[in-house]
Amino acid sequence: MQIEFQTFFLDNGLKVIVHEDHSIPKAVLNLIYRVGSRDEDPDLTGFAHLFEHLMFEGSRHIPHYDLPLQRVGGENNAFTTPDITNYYLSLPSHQIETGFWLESDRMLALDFSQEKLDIQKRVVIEEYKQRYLNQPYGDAHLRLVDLHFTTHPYRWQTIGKDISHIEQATLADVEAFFYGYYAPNNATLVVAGDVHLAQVQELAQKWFGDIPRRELKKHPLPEEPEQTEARDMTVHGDVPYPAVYKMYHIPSHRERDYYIADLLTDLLANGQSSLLHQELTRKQQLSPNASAFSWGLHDPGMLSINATLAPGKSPEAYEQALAGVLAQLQDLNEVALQRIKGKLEATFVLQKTTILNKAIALAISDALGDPDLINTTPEIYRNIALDEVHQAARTILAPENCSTLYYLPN
Amino acid sequence: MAKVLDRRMAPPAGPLSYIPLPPYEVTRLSNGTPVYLLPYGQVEVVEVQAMYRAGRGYQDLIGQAGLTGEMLTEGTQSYDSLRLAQQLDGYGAWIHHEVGEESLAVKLATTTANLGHTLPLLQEVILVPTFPSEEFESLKQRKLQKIQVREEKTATLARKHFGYELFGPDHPYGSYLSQEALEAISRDHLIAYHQQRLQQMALTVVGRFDREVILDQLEELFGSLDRVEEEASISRAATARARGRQGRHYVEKAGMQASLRLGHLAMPRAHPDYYGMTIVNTILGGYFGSRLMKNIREEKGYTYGIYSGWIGNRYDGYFVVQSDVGNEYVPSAIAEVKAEMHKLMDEGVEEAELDLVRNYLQGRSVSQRETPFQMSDLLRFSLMHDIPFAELDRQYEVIREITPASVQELAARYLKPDDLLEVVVGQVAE
Repeated sequence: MQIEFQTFFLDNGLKVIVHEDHSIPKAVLNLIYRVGSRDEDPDLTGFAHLFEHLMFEGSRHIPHYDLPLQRVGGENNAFTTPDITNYYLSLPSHQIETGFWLESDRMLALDFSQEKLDIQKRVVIEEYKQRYLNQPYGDAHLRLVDLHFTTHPYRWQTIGKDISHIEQATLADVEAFFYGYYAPNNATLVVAGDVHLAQVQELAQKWFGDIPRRELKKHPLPEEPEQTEARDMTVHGDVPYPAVYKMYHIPSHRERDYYIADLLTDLLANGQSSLLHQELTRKQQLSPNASAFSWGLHDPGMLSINATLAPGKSPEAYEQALAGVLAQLQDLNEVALQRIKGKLEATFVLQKTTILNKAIALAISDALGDPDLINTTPEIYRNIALDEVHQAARTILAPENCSTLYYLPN
Repeated sequence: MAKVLDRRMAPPAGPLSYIPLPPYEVTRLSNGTPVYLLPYGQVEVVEVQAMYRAGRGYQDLIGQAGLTGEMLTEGTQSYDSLRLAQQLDGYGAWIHHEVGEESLAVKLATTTANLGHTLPLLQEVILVPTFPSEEFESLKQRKLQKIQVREEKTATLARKHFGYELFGPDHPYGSYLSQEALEAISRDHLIAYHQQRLQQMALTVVGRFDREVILDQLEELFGSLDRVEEEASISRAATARARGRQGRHYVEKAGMQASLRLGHLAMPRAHPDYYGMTIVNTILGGYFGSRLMKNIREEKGYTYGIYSGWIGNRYDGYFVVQSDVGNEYVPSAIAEVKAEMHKLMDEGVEEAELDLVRNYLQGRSVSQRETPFQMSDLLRFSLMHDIPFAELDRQYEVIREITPASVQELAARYLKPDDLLEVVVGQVAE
């Protein structure tokens, strides 16, 4: 199913993408800013995400962000990744102007205050504890990315390297960050749902048209050097079983080779029929939850293979078995490849059942460089050949391309 | 020159309404199996659910219903678990089960184009599962370990103890799958459960489909079965007695945060004041703009999030407030929750705040009724809880008509801030 969309720019550089879907009386505004944790100072990590919280604390002319939106029957949320920060709201389509009003005012200027900053610092610190520190193995990923990347800012997660960094953020930092990155010329607005192009053109001009273009704080990012030998690290914690986390370098999401790496991840870990589940969880019963993920990032990213070990199993036995599974990828045949492609194809169809999903996919695609990726992505997967998968398995899943974290009980 | 924009003024807002639940068609296969058909959505996908009066209210052992559901896809007469999963992958389809208090459902989600290929797989799974011993033992081991890891989390322990104290471990609404409960279940229990509880089904079809084609295929796959009339039985929840314990229940668990579960018993879903109380609850802690969130997150910064729920089970309902807070904030957070409950009871709500909640709840219906999968679940809920669509939509009448005076009256009558069960799992200094 083709997703139709139109694109236009305002004079201040704001890019607007419109997707009409009149099946239900709902509209979505999705505003993506091209700033993420990659843009943070290494001594002030977690800042892009802390800033996301502050975006809900009132803007120059509107003291509360949430109240007026809820008053017209709307809902909203946001997320921060290493590359982008994405804000979205959905509301009954006849109330859409309220969305323009709210989003444009917080792009124009935030209502900064020390008190608001102090409170959100506390909230984010509780979030840090809830998600990463108060869970068994909760900080594994934080430690693993720090081992995997030596140089690139992807070496810290969006929540930040350390709670102390969040504590140190000042109001001056907040202001500099806002004016350096939150600008019409650093954002794309996607409007989707029960709307019309002409209506969106008029509302975008009315509410966003007078926001000045800003000088962006651009800075070159250090390139991650190629890894040439295996790295590992052992940590001890209050956990019931050993766990082994492995991370491999993969190409940027902007490259076609990324999609091959992602397909590898699906072969390894997407569902009951996947290799890790069949071999390590079922046949050899080495781990109840062996899994794999890939991160499609703007710069070269990562693929991880994680497992908590079953009682009595050693990391050595697990690693030996895992090496066997990875070698099996070379035996992958056309039938198995077509199967996983069939599954991915259906996943793309299901994703299109909500307006919000379509809006977010358009925004993410645009940030990668081409909004039409929402339509062309299935084709990219479809065209991946068997020998390309074999080749990628050999180069990506090589020991010298891997960092391993052993998480052991105290 | 256009006039200067006044950014302080909100754009004019129109009146709100909700999306009413659409009508569906009821028909029967030749053996009497009811089929409910609801065309919905623009994308070429469809969900078929086979549903049974089963679930946690209808089991002899804790975990029996859930494990039976999980084992349905672990092997059938024609497929072992791997071959079944591979078949589904190739067609881009999913078979999942869902176990509730009052029902067990097996769902097939598929693209419309592959419905004809995948429906026979659903038939295999629900009619002729083989419950292979080896797969069952392996599943059990995996689950045992997952329980052990999960019990390292304060939130899991808080949920478990809250259920035990409020309902009791033997009450279906308080049941928690512990390692001991899991150990006690054998393969025979699952086979028995399948034979006793998963025979008399209803079928729903929601999404994009051709009516004649799907009815023919359902008839072919399910229409000639002997329809076993199950013994009439009602949920154990109908006769179980909830403990309703009150007061502080503290469980020590080292860590940086404590998980709180505060609450008390409440009315069942069919009670005439149930919908009114869900609105009261929304004001208190049921949405991001709620009083609890404003006070405890946005003003104090004690937590990343705090929510309350007014849960209308079929038999015993309950009220619960849940949050993870820094250990040092526990006493203040509990005091603030009680203070917010008292405030709502003593001072009620201003028209403006109530109006906001009315609009929020009506607007949300649009997002809750967007996909065929959401509608499929709503239809199941309606059928299995014997609540017609019209009655589900009655909540919007209540939302439109409720007044500040009735909010306060309801709050004063049903909130019990001085008789709370307070489960705290964490490390709280004396």
